[in-house]
Amino acid sequence: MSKLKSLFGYGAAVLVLTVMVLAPFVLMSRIEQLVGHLGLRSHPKYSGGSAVRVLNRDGYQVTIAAPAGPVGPMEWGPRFIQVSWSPVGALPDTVDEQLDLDGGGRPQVRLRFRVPRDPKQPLTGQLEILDPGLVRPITILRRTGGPGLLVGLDHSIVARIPLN
Amino acid sequence: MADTRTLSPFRSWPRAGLLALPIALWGLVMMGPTLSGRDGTAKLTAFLAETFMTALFLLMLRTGQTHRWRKVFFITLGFLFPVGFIIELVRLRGSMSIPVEHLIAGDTPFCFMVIPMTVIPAALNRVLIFPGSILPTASNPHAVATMVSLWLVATLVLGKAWCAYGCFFGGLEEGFASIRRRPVLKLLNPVFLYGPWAVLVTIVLLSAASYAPTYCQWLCPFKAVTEFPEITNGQTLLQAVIFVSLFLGLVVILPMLTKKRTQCAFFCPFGAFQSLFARISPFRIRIERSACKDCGVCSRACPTLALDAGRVLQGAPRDACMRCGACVDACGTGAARWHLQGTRAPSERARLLFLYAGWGFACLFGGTIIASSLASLIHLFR
Repeated sequence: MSKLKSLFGYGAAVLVLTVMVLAPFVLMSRIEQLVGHLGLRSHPKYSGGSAVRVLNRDGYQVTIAAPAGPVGPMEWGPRFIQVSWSPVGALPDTVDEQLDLDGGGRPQVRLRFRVPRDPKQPLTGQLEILDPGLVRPITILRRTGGPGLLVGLDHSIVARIPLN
Repeated sequence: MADTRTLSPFRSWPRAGLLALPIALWGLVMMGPTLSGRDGTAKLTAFLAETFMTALFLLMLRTGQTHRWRKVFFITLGFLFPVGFIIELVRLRGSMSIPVEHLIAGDTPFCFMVIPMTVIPAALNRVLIFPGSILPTASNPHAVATMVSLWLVATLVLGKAWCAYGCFFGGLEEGFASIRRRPVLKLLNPVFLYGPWAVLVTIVLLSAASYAPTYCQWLCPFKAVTEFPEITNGQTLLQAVIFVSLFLGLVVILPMLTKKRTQCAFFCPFGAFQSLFARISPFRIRIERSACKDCGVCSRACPTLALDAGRVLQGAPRDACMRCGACVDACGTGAARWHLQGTRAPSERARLLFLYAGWGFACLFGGTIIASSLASLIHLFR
């Protein structure tokens, strides 16, 4: 019995060393792939939710995401719809867009903002509510300091329009 | 019971050198991509890190002491990691704070501390409650899948020993704990040892309810030396104050006063989480009762209070034992020994087998961090 235990002990040590040696060559990339296949998605408060419509404009695209908001049982925070414009280089000097956020055929908001040529320049957008049912009545979208958000990323400009 | 330190079979330089050869080769393989790259500074620092890791391993074998040399590596890692990380953050973002753009773009490097908090939301809704990408991207190589795979390997190889051979945050505490020669505060209430479990249960439940990484948002002391949300309002200001206070209290001041890793012993939820996997590893520390004189040296040497008089009587430390080897180094009678579960292997053989795994991981993870952080530091002054 003690010989068997001893065999298991040494066997476990060899297994640990094998895992160690295989880790950087095979094991870690396999585990990485496995985690990738788990179907995990980033929380919509970070990712902005999954895209539901893509509108093709003159050289650029407008992507409208599904409404996003709290997922957890005790989570709070505003619901919003994320709209993004990309690529930034193809955008006109001023974007002036009437947006049908829910896909019902009628626009709910009109959003205007100047596209900064310097990506570090702050963005401010004017929001006009066309249909007051869906969207929270705000008039300004900016980087911080309000319920709405407008920021420039590396390849896109992202707006988050808060919902009622 | 014979003193294992005087009978260590690896004491001669040639023998120790021969036994250190696999680690030297392993280090070369780990540093290979950098050593064969074009960046001269990176090559130099990779070479230095490789030499440093091999030299420490050689000294471990030559002297029979583990903790003494591991500590040198661990403190170096603990102090170089935040330096390299902060330099990179400032280079990429211009500050240590996480701007809202990075939160939205999923460019926040995933931290292993988040893993326990993500489990329930991921299992219930497949939602990741962290602003990082799932798979690595050009702008975020430290994606969730990468860090989870690293953690899983660390857990299989090291178990709880992650806290002594992998966790760069622990190195900072160990550094501050090493400053004074003697502790000022000696009486530490053992009830505080439940602290990490209490924090772990609290943050896991709160994160499952709020779908937010509660610990990262409110309690992580190491935000003070890595990255934190941009201060834009009262809440983010309060968070920053909490991070700095916890860092100063638990990572700097208390370790200096007690000579213990107080954050690890009393607060760290990830340490508690790793304790759940402590028994995966076949490598243990045992107290040979027949050789023990109950002098208490081992208990005093233990940085995380995993050993006390009661545990010495039982012959084994708590699951909080991180296999740092401090007790074995300190024990004058050879009663504190390395042990390979199920075997009667001599302490030195069990230790050697453990060190190949533990130091191998240290080279793979910590060694490469030391090299890249040193390179960032040199680039800063050039």
